[in-house]
Amino acid sequence: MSPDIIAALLNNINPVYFLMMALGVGFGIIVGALPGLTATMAMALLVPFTFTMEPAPALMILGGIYVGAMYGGCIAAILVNTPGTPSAIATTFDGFPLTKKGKAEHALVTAAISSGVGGVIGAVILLLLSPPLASVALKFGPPEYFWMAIFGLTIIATLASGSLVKGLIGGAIGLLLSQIGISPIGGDMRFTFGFYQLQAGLALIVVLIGFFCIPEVLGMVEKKISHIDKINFKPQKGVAKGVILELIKKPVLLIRSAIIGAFVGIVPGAGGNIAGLLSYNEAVRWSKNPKEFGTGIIDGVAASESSNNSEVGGSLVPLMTLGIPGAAPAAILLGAMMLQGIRPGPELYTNYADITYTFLISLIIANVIMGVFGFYGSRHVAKVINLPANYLAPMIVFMTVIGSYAIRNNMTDVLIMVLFGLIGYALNKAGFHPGPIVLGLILGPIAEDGLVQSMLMGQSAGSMWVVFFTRPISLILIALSLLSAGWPIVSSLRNRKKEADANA
Amino acid sequence: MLNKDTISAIVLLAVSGIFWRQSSNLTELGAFFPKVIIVVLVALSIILLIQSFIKEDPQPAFAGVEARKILPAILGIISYIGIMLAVGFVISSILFLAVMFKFLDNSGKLGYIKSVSFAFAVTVAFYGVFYYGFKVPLPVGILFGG
Repeated sequence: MSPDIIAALLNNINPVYFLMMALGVGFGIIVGALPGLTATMAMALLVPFTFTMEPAPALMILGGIYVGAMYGGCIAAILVNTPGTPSAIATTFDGFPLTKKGKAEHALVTAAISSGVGGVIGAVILLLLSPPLASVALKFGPPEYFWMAIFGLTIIATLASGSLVKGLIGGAIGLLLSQIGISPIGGDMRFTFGFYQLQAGLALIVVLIGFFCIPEVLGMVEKKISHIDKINFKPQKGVAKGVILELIKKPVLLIRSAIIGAFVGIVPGAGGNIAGLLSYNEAVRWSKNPKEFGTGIIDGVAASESSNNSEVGGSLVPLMTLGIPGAAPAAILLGAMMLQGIRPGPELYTNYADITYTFLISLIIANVIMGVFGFYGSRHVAKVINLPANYLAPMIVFMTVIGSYAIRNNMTDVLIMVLFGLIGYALNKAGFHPGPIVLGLILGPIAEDGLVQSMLMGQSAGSMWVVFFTRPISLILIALSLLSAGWPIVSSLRNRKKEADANA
Repeated sequence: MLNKDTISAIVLLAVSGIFWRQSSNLTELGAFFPKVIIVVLVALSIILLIQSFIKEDPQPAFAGVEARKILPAILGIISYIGIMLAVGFVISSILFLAVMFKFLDNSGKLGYIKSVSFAFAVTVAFYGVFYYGFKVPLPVGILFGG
């Protein structure tokens, strides 16, 4: 066994680290259970609390929050038919009917066990799949990095829900924002508009906190989330054993849903909601009694929950191998890694292997903890669902202010966080989602470095064509970019044709 | 009436213009990539502008924004930061939290004393965690020599 893996295992049995990760899982479950609050927001709020720590426990806590929040979403979905996070949409289909039948405990136990099993499978897939993929990424030179950034930007096509043009504009806005500060090659002072504080560029995590937290708070103020129906839930005894025995008889359902979830997660831009819906559909398709789905059976809850928790592991594959966050929570992890001085991507498995393996193994353990917490604690967490928005919203703003200040002890960062929060809210109202903007912001420097260095290589080699279009990995990345950019267009044209045929 | 896409496209074109002007003073190497981005942004904004004219059901600008609730909340956040610059973290946070707890309370049951006490407890607890736990001195404000 390699010394890095031994170090990782030792880190994971360190009681302090373990306790912090467990606290992360617990915090994640509570935030995830609150309708309107997402895993991304929970992580963004907590990053500033972790940056003074060692990198390994900091990442373990954030991983724990991600895992916990993904599960927490099911509690509100089951009890009040309101998914706590978008990933739990498919959980409402059978979870809430079970509650209406007086079987909420059945649904909650099913969700806890399926989430744990799915999450562990997803984390194992991440552990097994990402090192070999990262070793390919280690062979990248500037042209490959350029094309990888382009591939990342084409993900916008999938991230952009609704309008492709708006998604692409969001990406361009992000790219433009990434240009603020001293240029990496040439040393120009760009777009600082006379503010010396902007010379070092925008602090990624500060912008992320603004973009992902402030618009959500303002959304809460608008929606009055406190109007949720009163929870009608009485805990029952002796349910767990029966549900466990029933689930043991359905290993194919759990494993199939987890595998679907992990691979949906790997596809950048496709989130837990798609994973849950897809495996729910598959569960219906493979079932002997498809008509029972939607009436309140545990199979529906198991399919959705196993899948959306397995998606967590999958969604980290692009981040851990290429340094491209394929989902919003992964962008926060990227920001946290950069705060710790770690560059996400293939170097994670060479320069920071002990930290990386600690994190990957901790994700498996976090899923087990999440299953246990869910099994014993979901009925207690249910009480926070009705936490009124008048307390939550101001406290989230308060935490974003502390967080953005504490990173560099700097009020300018607070001003930038609020400014980007308000810009994010306005952009959201105009139909521009934060995902593509953040992706542009992250990929801008990678794309520019790759492009300019490749152009210099091309000048000395006497041919741009050779540098950009003849290297094998570049060609694969170009093909992937074309596929990724073209697929949403093709599928939307197909949908239109189908609709036209149906109307005819 | 202008719909939200038309307004977005016009604002984006204006922003692109400002960034283009700023990039004219840069060296060739430093200006190349930003200029590529600006050209792409302009092209996409023009497509959005055209789409906004031919779209069948354009939504009016600021549709779905409840100004009565949102504007005071935004104003509250901005004032919070302004007051923090002047008098520091503790006073501004207690003020912001207490006012917002009360303002957003739809039930009308939350009293002034309860909201101020809760705001005080939260602020002092976080101040303690950051000051003693993380060794991060939170801002004291210009008026107190910060």
